[in-house]
Amino acid sequence: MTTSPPPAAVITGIGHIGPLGSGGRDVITAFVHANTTAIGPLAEFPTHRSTRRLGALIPASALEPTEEARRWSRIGHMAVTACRHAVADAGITESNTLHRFGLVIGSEYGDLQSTEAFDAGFLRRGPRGLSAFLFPNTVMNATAGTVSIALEIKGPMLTLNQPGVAGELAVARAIALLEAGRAPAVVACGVDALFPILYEALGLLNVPSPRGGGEEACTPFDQRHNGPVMGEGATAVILETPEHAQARSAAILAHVRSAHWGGLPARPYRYPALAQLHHRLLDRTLNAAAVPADAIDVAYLSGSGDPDQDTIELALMAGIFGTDRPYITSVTHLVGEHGSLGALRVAAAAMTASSGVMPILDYLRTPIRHDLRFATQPLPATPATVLVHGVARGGVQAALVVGPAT
Amino acid sequence: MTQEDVIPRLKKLMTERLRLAPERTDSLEPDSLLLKDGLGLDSLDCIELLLGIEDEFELEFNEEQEGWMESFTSLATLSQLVLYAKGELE
Amino acid sequence: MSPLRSRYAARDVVVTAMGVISPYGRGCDAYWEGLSTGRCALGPLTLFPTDGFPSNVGGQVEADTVRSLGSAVRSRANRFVIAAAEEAIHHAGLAPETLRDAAISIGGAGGGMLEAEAWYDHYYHSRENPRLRGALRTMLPASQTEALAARFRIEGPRETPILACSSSAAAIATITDWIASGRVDVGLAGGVDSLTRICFMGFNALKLLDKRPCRPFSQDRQGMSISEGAAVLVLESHAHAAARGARIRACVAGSGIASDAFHPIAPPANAEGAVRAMQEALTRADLTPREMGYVNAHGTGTIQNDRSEAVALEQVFGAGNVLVSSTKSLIGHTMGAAGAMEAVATLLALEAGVLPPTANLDVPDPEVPFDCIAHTPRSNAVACAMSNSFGFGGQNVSLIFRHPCTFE
Repeated sequence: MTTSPPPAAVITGIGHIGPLGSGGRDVITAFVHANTTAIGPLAEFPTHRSTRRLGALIPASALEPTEEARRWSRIGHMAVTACRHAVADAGITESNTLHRFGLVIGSEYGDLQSTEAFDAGFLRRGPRGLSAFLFPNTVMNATAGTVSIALEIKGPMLTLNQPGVAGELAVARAIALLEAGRAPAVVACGVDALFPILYEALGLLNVPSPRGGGEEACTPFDQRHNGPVMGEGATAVILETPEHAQARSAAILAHVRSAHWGGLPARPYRYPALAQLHHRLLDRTLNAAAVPADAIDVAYLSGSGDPDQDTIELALMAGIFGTDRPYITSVTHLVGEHGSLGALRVAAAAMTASSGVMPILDYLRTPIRHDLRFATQPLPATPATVLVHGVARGGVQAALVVGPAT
Repeated sequence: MTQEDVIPRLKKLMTERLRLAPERTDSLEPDSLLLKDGLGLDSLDCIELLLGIEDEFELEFNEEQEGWMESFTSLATLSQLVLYAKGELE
Repeated sequence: MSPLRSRYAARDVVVTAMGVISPYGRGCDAYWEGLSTGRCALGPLTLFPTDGFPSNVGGQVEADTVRSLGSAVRSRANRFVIAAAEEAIHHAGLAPETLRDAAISIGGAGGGMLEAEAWYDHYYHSRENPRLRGALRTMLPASQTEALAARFRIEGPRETPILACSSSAAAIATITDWIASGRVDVGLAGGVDSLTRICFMGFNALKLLDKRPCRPFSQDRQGMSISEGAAVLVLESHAHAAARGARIRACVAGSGIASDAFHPIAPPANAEGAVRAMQEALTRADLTPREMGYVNAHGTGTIQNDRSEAVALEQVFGAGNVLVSSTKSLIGHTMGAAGAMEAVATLLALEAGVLPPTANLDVPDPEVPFDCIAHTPRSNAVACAMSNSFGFGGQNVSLIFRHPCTFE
C-alpha cells in the first residue's frame, strides 16, 4: 500500500451562525441532518420596493446587543460569533493560545451596510451627518480587526474580497499561510450579511431567482433553476499544522489533503463559457491529495441555482468523474446563497468526511444532467473522502479535498 | 447657557451616538470619569462624540491637537469645552 | 518567540519589473523624477466638490494622465491598475504562456466606489438611474483583480487582500510566499486605489487630515493627505528569471505580517505589532538591523502614527541608526496602493543610490530620533532597505529588499 502524503492541514474546530442556528459541529450536524430550509418570505425587508420576496436571515435574537458589541457592525458581530464557536469547538480555552494564530476572512460584500449608512448620513445632512464610528467599517478589513481584538489573534491577518468562492478561498489561503510558516494555526472565516440595499441592488441587477420567469425558488442543478435565493451567515474553520494540533493534543475532525485555486478564462462579472473549461485545477488538486477521482465519495458544489454556474460546474464534474460517484450535494437549499457560503461547505464536508452525514437535495425533480449522481438519499454513517469545489463569476475556481482523520 | 443646560444634551448624545444604554448615561454625575479609568471611552468614542457636539451645539473644532481628549475627562469638563467655544465662558 | 520556518525549501524571489500610476504621472520614470527631486505633489483636490469640509488637500492623478489611460467606460481604479500592470508586464517581457499560470494579488481599499457613489446618490434621492448600474459591477476591490486577469488572460491563483493601508504590501508578501513554496513561478503583486468621496469625507470626519500638505515626522504635524494611484510589480523565482534571461532589479529578501489586536484605528503606544512585523521580516531575510541602510516609513503625518512608528523604529534599530523618509510626504497616502507604491519607491532608490526625502519637514519632531532626510534627496548607495505599512485595524506589514542580489 502506498503512503499518502501528509495532509496540507488538519481541521480541529468548526463554528457557524446562520439562519438555521448558531454553534459548533453539533449545530451544523443537526441542521444538515434535519435538512430543513430556512428560506422563506422576508418579513424584515421592504420587499414592496423589490421584485423578489424570498431570502434567509439570521434571527435578531441570535445577535444580542452586548456591552462588548457596542461598536461592532452586524457583520463583525456575525464573524466574532462564528469564530468563537469554532475556537470552542476546537477545545481551545486559553486566550493566549490564539496569540500566534493567523486569521483569514473571506467576504464578497463585506460591510457594505456600514458604507451605505455612512454615505446616507452625508446625503441626508451634509458633513454634519457623518459618523466616525462608521467610517473605519467602510474598508473591508474592519471585520477582521473586530475579530482579532475580540479573540486576541495576533498573527498574520488577511481579508480577502472575492465573489462566489470567498469561503473556500479563505480556507485555501489559510493553508498557504501554514505552508509559508507564517503561523502554526489559522482561523479561516467566510462571512456575508444580507441587508436591504444589497437585496434591492441584486434585484435591480437581475441576479436572484426568478430570472426570466418561473417560480421564485432555490433549485440548484434542477431544470427549474433560475437564479439564487439570497441568505447570509458566517462559518469559521480552525486549520492547524499536524504538528501544532498534536502538540496541544487537539482532537482532529478531518484532514484537508489538498487545497488549490486559480482562474478559468472568463469575462469580468461573467461565468466561464463551456468551451473555455478545462480540468487543470481539479487534476492538480486530486494529484496533490494523492486521491484518484473514483475515490471521491461526495462533492460539495457551489450550487447557487444560477443557471450558468450550475451548467459549467456540472460540466466540470462530468469531465472528471464517472457516473457511479461522487454524490453531488450543496448547502444552498438549506440557508440561501451568499458569496462566502463555501466556508460552510468546507465545515459540512469535514462532518461528511468524519461521519458520512451530508445534505440531501430533496427539492431535485429533474436534474439538468443525467450522467451524474446527486445526493438524494443519505449515505451510510461512515467516513468519506470529499471534494469541495466552487466557481465564481469572473472565473475564480477553488477545489479542496477533505478526508477523514486517519 | 449653563452647565445644567448642557449636561442633559451631552448625555442624550452619548446614548444616541455612542450606543450606550440610557441607564448607563442617565446615572452619570458631572464629575464621573468618562475615559479609561471610568466609563472606558476611547479616542474613537471621543471623536464620534465630538462630531455629535459640533452638530448639536453648532460648533466647529480643529483637527487633532495634542491632549484634546482631556476635555472628555468628565461631563463637567466637556460642558466647559462647549460653553467656552460658545463664548459663554472667559 | 522563536522564528517560524517555512515548510518548503525557500526559493529566492526577485523583482523583474514595475509599473506605476501616481500623482506625478504615468510610469516609473515620471514617478522617480518626482521622488528624486523631492517635489511635493499635494494640493487642492478637484475630483469632486470639497466645500464644507475642513481639509481639501491631497494627491490626485492629473486629468491628462487619466485621459491617456484609455477607455473611460471602466472605473477609475480599473484604469489605474491596468495601466500599471501594462507597464510592468511590458518591461518584464513575459510570454503569454508564462502569464497564463502567473499568480495575482492586488490589494485595495475602495475598489470602484467612486463610480458606485454616483449611482447611490441617484438611488438615495429616489431617481435610481439604470445607466449607472454598471458601476455596481466594478464596485468591489476584487473587480480590479478580475479585470487584470481578464485583460492579460491570467489563470493562476489570485486574490484581493484588503488590509487597509497595508493591502498591497501584504500582496507583495503573499506572492513572495507562493513563489517560495513552489505554488507558482511568477506573480503580479500590487495595489490600487482611486480617490473616493467616502474616503475624503471619512478622514475629514475623523479629523485626521492636515489642512496643508502633510508633514510627517514634523513637530507641528497635523494629519495626513489622502491620495490615489496604482503600482504593480512582477515577482519571479530567481531560477525562473535567470532561465529566461530576465533583468533582475532586486530581490525580496524577507517580509513580516503581524496584527496589533488592539483598536479599530489606533496603534498601541508600545507599537508591539509593528515591531513584530519588522522583526519577522529581518529574521526571514537573515539580516540584522545594522545591515539596513534605509527605511521607507509608513509616515502618514498623523500625530499618533508617527509617534508610534518612531517608538517601533527605535526599538528595532536603536535611535538614529538608520535613515528614514516618508513617501507619503511627497505623493500623499494612496491607501490600498500605498504598500506597493512605496515598495517601488524603495526599489528605485536602491537602484539609483539616491534616497527620496521627507517633504515639508521644516521643524523635525524631537521625539523622532532619526534623520528623516528633510527636504533634499540624499545620495547614499545602500544595499538593503525596508518598506513599512502599518494599516488601520492593526495590520502591520514590513518588506525588505536587497540590491544587488546575492544568491546561494
